[in-house]
Amino acid sequence: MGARAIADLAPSQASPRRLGRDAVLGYLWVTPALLLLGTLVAYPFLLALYWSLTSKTAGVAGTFVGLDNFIYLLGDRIFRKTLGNTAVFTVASVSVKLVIGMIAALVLDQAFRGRNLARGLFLLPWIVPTSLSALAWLWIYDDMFGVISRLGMDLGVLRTPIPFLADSLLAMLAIIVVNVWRGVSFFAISFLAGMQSIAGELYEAAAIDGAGAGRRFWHITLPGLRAVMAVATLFSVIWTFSDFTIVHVVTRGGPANSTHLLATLAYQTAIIGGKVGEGLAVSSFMFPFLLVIIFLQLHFLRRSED
Amino acid sequence: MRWPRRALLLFLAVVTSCLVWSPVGDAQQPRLGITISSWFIPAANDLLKEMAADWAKQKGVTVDFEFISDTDLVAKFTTAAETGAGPDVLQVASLHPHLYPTKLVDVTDVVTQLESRHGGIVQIAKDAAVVNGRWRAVPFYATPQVLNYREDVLKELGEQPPDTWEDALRIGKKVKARSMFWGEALGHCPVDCITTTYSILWAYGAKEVEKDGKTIALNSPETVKALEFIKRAADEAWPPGVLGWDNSSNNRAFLGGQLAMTINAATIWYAAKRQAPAVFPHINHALIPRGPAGRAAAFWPSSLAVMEHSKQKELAKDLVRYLTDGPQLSRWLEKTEGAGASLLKGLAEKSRDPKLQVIPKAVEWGRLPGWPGPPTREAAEVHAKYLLVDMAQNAVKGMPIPKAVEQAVAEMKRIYGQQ
Repeated sequence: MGARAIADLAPSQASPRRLGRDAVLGYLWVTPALLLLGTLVAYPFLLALYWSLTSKTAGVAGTFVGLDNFIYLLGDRIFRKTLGNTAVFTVASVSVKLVIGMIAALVLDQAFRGRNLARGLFLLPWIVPTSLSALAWLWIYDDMFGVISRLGMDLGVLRTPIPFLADSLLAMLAIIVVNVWRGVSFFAISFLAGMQSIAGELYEAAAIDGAGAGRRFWHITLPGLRAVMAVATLFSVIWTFSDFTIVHVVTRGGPANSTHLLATLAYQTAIIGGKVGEGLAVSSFMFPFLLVIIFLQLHFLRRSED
Repeated sequence: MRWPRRALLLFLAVVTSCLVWSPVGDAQQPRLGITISSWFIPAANDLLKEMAADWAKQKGVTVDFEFISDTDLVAKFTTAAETGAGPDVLQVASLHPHLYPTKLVDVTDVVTQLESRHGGIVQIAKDAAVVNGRWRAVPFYATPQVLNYREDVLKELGEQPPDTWEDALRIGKKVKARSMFWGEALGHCPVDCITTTYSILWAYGAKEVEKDGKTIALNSPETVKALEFIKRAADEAWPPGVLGWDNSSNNRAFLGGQLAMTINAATIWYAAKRQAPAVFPHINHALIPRGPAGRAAAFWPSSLAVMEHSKQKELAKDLVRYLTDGPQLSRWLEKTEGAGASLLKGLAEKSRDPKLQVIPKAVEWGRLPGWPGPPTREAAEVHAKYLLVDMAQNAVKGMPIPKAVEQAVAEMKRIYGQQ
């Protein structure tokens, strides 16, 4: 396709007749994408929503039961505990990632030897497949062999190993740490990119006016990063809220369900327990919440585009 | 004018070629898919593939082998049952024949032949695969859970391997004083953690349900006694992290010389032979300890099922018949270096290391979740949701035992629809 063809397609130059023909072609071009979205996203999603309203078990159709699964779940102790766990996990992980991500971005924004290498290395946790890094963390937390317990005991700091995965609070902390370790680079790199777009003159003017580093950060950097922060946080909330791999590998929801998240409980119920309808109802509980997040995200994206 | 038409033609050409394209293969030769859990001894997997290839050659068939982790078998089966697609032959290591009997081909004829040739089949294999009097999977092998112990440590302490759970605790305390441990997995893990909880409950006479499989019987003095024992063991003998242990934690700790006793399949033996030469000569095996109500161990026998969605059911059945038959099974069991045991009562064994003599005997103590009731969907759900493991965990974490039992019973009632 040459330059002439591109010009032909430009709407401002096309005649109404040509526009009609190209519009058909336009629809044709987006058809594969629409088909893909329809078959791989919309259809399974709608089917899942429908099945969450049925008594379906694996391989058996089941009957329509209305909201029975949802009512059952709301009365279920494990499910209610899971909702609480998911909220704690999401809020704690995202808050810590936000703060550490900001500090890391401020450091990586300074000029120092090996800065590019440091920036590259900082991305590593984000690049490594989650299941692999989760396995490595599982080893770190191991009470008999874990590097922390072992080192502490060999150095005489600890008398007994720390049972990271056996204590409800420690296990929750353990999975939050893995999530933070993995997700903090996303925040740092997003913030770093945002910082590059803040005009240097603003800092120079503020410095001339006598503003210290703290005030420059508060009055220039933070407002300049507002949109980036909002979008990064919302993305992270979605990923953290629906996290599966870390819990699946490290704790499998234990001890006594104190680290189950909605995604892992849904898997346990639908795939291992075979109760497909109930399991899908568990995961459907995520939907209204994620819908609000996506709405907010689009809103911020549009505003930052303006 | 020319460009859109040309583009359209190109587009249509691409779409058409996508539609008519199909995977390259020998159209004449039927293909059979078989999914099996990967044995931790590579030579055993290789032999299975080799035997299937021999069979395939005779029949003019291509066999596609897929080895997956045993913890993924349940997910694989659920997906295959749901979608009606996937392998023709699947290894079953759960209550699946009871949950979805209509998804599995009736293989009673194959099993009847096996029985007549090899003198009967052990009870646990029947419990697992017979639904309404019909076999829905062919018994393959079992990896019974036994006590793995360190002979040298016990000798030093002047002890014999424990016969009862109380003996185990008494020895466990002595072992702990020597800076080693007796340790049992009690986390959310699908095999060892279930064995720990269910076996101790049964040994003390506790049961989820009565023989009818419906009447919930968990709230009993026996359950309280079993939980009291688990709590004492956790407080006085087991390492502090057992609530976070998975299937492999005790294997690693044993190989690392930190455990002197643990319930496990005899798989540590093989790993020690290669990775832990200092530990290996001292490993021995004994039956799982018993309690006041007797001896029982929770584990699954492995069976091979032919999926109803298979387009070549007869061929698939023939493959299963071939792999599970005496001569092939004997060859394969030999490659498992003692960890695997036959479910056929009369299958003669060529040789077995003296330290592994207990493995075939241990098969008869195997019980399935739900016992003494039949394996039901509800029992499978209680198992999948770790309800009884959670009950034990709560007791260990300090929840008053009656409350931990009450909580488990409340959840069981919801599952059994008795609210």
